[in-house]
Amino acid sequence: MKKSLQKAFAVTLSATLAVTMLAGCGGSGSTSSSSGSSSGTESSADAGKTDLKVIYTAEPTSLLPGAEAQSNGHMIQCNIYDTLVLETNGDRTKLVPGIAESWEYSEDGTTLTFTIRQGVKFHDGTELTADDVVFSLKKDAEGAYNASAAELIESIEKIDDTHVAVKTKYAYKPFLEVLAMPSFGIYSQAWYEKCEADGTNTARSENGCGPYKFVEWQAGDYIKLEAFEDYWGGAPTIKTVTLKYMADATTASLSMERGDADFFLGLNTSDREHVAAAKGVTIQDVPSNGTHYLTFQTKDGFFANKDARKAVQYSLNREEIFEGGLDGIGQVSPYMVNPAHFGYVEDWEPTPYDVDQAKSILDGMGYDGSAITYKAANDSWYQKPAQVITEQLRKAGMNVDLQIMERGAWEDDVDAKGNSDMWNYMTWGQFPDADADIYMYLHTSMQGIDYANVGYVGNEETDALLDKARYSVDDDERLELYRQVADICEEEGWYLFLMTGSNAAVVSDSLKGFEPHAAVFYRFNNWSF
Amino acid sequence: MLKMVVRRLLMLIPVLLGVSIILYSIMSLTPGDAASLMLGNAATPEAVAKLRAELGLDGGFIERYVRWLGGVLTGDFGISYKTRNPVFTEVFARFPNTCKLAFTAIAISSIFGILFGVLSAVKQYSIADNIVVALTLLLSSVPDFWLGLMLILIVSVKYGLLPMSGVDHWYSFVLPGITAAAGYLANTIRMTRTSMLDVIRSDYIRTARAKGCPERTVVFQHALRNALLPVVTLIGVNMGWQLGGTVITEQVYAIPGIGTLMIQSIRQKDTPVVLGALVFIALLSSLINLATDILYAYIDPRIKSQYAKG
Repeated sequence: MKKSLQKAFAVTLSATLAVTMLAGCGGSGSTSSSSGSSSGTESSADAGKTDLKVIYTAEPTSLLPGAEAQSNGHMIQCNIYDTLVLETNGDRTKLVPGIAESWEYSEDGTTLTFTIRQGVKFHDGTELTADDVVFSLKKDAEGAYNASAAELIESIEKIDDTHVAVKTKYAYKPFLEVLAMPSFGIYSQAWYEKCEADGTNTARSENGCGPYKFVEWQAGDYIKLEAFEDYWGGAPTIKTVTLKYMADATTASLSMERGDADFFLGLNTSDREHVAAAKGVTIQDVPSNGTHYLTFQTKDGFFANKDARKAVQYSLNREEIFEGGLDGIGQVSPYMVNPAHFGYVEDWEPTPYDVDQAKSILDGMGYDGSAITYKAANDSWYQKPAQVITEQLRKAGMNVDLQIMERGAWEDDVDAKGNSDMWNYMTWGQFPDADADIYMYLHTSMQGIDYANVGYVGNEETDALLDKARYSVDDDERLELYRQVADICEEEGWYLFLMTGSNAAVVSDSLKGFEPHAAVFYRFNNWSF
Repeated sequence: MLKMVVRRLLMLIPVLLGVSIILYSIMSLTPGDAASLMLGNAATPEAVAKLRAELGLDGGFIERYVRWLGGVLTGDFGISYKTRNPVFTEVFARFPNTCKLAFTAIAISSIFGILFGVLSAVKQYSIADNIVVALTLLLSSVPDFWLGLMLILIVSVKYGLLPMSGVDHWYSFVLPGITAAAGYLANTIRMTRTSMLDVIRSDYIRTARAKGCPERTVVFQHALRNALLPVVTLIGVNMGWQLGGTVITEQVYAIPGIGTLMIQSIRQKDTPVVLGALVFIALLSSLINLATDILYAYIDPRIKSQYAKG
């Protein structure tokens, strides 16, 4: 009925083009404000629906675990491939058995022995064996995205038909979290070898063991998944999933408003008000697992002087940066570790905001007003905070020369080489543990290596603490060690952690089972209508 | 005629070679690295090094260009850094959508453009003429993204009459077609109007009227055919532009076409795809230009006789 109406209208419209266009142009101003109330009326009829429509604004690159760096790709991977251990829906730190029924640490904590679940089927119906586990973990570790995690792994071996041992170079507490990432998904050895033999693109096909099977990928358009009825954890309630790529976030928001889709990742700040007013959908703010920070080139230049860094600390008003830079969506987060990660403590206070103190420090060091280079990437979430920070530093009397650069150029120049007096960026948090980012940013062994500690920060004391925290398996001790690192980092003024944003999700009100996930590893078998 | 076509086809070789060299230089010499861009914040030293090696980004600029050109000569346009699919597949998966959008837009802008152009020229200074002139001003000044979003808001969201995105049905292309056509429609109307006004004042039109030809024959057979030449050129050029992908329209209506592919690939520094797509577009534009020139001959026999001489 609706379709034939659409067709009929299309004919009429083509014929009366000019009239329609005039109407379209003239009447637009008044309608845009009221359209929020005219949509989303179908939500009650959605109960029992088994097809899910997802929209995202960034297209994934690869289905193969370890080859994908994009969060939307990880979301798809975690539905196609199960990992040895799985994160709980809504709680990243609580791991539950996946392909491994159980696991056991060796006495020294370096070897994890997994008991492989029996009777698990791959999507082509063949049974999963310990050999498949060993093979895919080894392949996963070769992937570029897993390069830093792979550094840890000493060996992956099959013990017998039901046991696999993964040995790390040293006891690493968050290693289980590493193995729970979708980029350590388990797939069939036979399938991979066949792909290699006949040249099939492993980025565009799969034979995993997760709750959903990959059906089709129309490049630039959509990806289709279908429920895997023989999934070891039970057949999913939602039977088909269509993930639609829409480059324009505003169009995507309108689509949600119109009830064309059930779940949307990538909401524009400018569309928030509109979407919030729409019926049938809710904006769910999901704290991002990246923390924004400001850092310095301490090897030479203005910020080689610790006093200069202290002056910046006193000049920063985080509330203002958060409001102006992220439109107040997310939270102010001055601690070194992301709130969603292990190692986070709540009761930690940064240097207070005190412009007069900053001014007197600058006077004391005889600052002559020479220009301070501040290069920022042109993505709005880096550029806007940079503009607020620049204003604040200028108020304190620093002559900051803010240069906005195209993202790629910025990465080459600043992220990789540290060619700027100061810059802001965001931690990534590949897996939910403090060690994931902090070691790379602060350890002196990482100094001068591209993309790592390019600001030449750190000292022997923090090195010792970071090493101890990395090799410790005691949670309380690790928390305390990271806290000490954070205190020294603040005292030295190496990094100023600012805030975390939000991976806002727009969710249809009829969708049940949604729990926020900082890294958007949403497993659709947890959901229903 | 045939000689002309062959000569023009041979001229394509230096054109395409030039295009590819310029593009390859731009993509290689501008800052930004495909490996670090693909990894984004997850770019650790180990990861970037590993990915660079996998993508074959090591090696000098000339070495890589020669390797690429060698591949192209054997019909291999390389593999996309991002998707690991052959570039050929990537481009041709999107091309039908761009084609459909381009033909819809060109059809709308040509049919209505010529129609309105003739109307406003024949009835110069009438109310209809004034409305048409105002319309062209409006159409050429409205930005694509705004028009696109407004059409979506009114036609799709408010009244639910047409789908707002996708490529599933022919009528999915109606709104994008209108959006992409807007600017071209204005140009076509203006060009037709000016050209018609010129022709209508010429002696042979007066003669035709004087010998008692019906007005319809005068306008459509005597005047329009002569006035059409610059309009055909314009439509040809428009076609080239449209087939090169209408980036904004494709983005707004979520149409997986050449335009979005190129924007994505340029941002990701996916050089093989950018090169493949642009060389393909350059080839297409040249061929369309050639086709336009050939079409001239059929519209205007005077030009045909020129070709015959040369």
